[in-house]
Amino acid sequence: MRPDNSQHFFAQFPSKALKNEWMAEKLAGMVKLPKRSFPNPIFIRSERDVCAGYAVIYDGTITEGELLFICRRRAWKELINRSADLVVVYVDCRERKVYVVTGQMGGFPCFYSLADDCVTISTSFSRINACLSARHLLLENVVEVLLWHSGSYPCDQTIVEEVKQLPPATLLTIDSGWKTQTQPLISWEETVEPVVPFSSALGFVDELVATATGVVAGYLKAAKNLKIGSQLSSGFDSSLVCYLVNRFIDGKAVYFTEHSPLLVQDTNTEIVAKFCQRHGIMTQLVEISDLYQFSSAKNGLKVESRGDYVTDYGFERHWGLNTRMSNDYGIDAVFSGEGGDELMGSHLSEWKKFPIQMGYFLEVNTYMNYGVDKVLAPKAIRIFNNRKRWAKKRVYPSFISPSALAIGQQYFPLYWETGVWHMMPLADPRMVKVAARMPKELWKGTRKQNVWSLRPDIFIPEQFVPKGYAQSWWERFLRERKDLLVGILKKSVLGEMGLIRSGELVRLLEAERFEEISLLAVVQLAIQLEIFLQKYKFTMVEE
Amino acid sequence: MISRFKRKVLIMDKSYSIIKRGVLFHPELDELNDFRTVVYNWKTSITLGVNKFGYQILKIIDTSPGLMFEEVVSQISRVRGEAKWQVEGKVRYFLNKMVNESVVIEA
Repeated sequence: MRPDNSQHFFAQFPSKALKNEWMAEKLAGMVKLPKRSFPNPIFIRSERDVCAGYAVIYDGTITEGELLFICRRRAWKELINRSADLVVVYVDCRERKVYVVTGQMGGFPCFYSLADDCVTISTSFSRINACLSARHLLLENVVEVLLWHSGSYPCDQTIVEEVKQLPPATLLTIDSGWKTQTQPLISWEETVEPVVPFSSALGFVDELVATATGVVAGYLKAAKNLKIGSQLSSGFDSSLVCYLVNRFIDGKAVYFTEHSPLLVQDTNTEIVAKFCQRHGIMTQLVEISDLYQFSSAKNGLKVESRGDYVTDYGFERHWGLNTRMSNDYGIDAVFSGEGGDELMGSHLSEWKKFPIQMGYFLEVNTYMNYGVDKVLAPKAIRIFNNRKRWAKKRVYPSFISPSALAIGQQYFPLYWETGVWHMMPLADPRMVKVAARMPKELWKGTRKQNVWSLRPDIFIPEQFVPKGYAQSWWERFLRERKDLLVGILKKSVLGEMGLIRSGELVRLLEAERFEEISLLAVVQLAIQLEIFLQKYKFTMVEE
Repeated sequence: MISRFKRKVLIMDKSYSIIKRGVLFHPELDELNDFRTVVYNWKTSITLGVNKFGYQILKIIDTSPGLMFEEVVSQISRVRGEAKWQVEGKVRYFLNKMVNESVVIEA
């Protein structure tokens, strides 16, 4: 019997408790930490303080006592320097302050609110949102969500003004006067320190594999005694991770390969079979043709928001695979090759020195080139193009790329609620630090192929082909869920706000001119947001 | 073929503006980077480093879009406390480069 994983970490302190009383026993009772098979909750209470949260440490261990000692010394840096996914709330009743700290790897998102005379902290946006008596919708942030902005730069806000998000490696302090302060715990100077490239390509690649070996060993240690899964496609990243997992726990892990005739450009099962044969791996083929976006709503024309505008209905493929891993195989933690693409850009110093400028260039130019104005309406384009939006962003230095961090920050509910913890060893800061020392001779052309061609003992020749874009897979939701989408878009809140071209989208869908609909990822998120916005009442806040 | 001299004369009549998708100023990061920055050629998707002198020129043009060459030279000479003749050639070289890289528009 699998435990109920639907509950999230949730702490709510009413003003009375934080303004006058500050009684540890009472405050401790206001922290809800659901029990799980993994990760285990941390909960320590004394007369003077409360320490609660979750921590998965991949580079060793931290006992509860050590964690409390770190909190009492305010030695947050010791915590966030670790290769770890964590979120910790520490309440010091003598000092009358609440501290919240997030780990540098971003595996736990953390949302907080000071609305309705309460301090509310949770790993779930929807849990906090559900408690609000009033919501103000931030148009700028709505546009950012439509554009998957968190992949370009970490977010410290949500679309709802009352709910803030604490980025990775950041400390939030709330005092008895309810004054809040957020402080990035990694300095910009640390991230831009010059590195010495390896003198030989072979030396670099060997060190990268040796580091990956140590990192995967640490992750397996953190998930000791748990049932492990590992995702395997025909690409390099998941192959490397599976190869290493298999070296350590030969025959004890379950490997999964998602496949569909519509997805051969992404995962070629013949290549996977050859790779498995080479390394003695048995993989389970999971047919995912019917797990397209909004497919779980296929029995009707109405969908009910589950409260999370990022993961609701848009990630049926991940929900479906994780649920199967959990229910059919009892998997507690799964490895993936996520972070492998970003690893190959770790040597690019401009991303560390100019993270906001680079995020801006990437976001604005990519979307302009792909015709974002065919999906977004002029008002949203104006917000999208407004450089002031970027100029006011706070600097959140990180060793890890925003797009790798976004996976935990955005998709957390689907890992948490299916009970399958997601592990991304290739996004580990130890890997990033080695990859940053890539010698120049590997920079030109397809870097990943240059790098991995030096390890023919791991990869097979058939893997050295570029991956294609599986258009027929990605647009399936337009064809199969046309009526649902038209129904949602005809009541479009985003259209009414002047943010999306809902009328044009309806016309194209009704005429079945699917190939003329561009930027499917933006259309997908627009529909997800619609489902959310059509459920709750909002007051709009203009730019 | 326009001679270098003619080009030098022609540029005097030109005005300059930033192509917004290629330049972003960020007060905190600009200071951390000692006013060196990066710009982006949207046609080639190539990022280029810009030194403090270039940063100052871009900032001047960004503040007053459509500024004439002479005015750019005047303002940069004031900002840097250098004579116009000392900066004119460098401004011309930088603006040419930025126009060729589709970061600045010349009209």
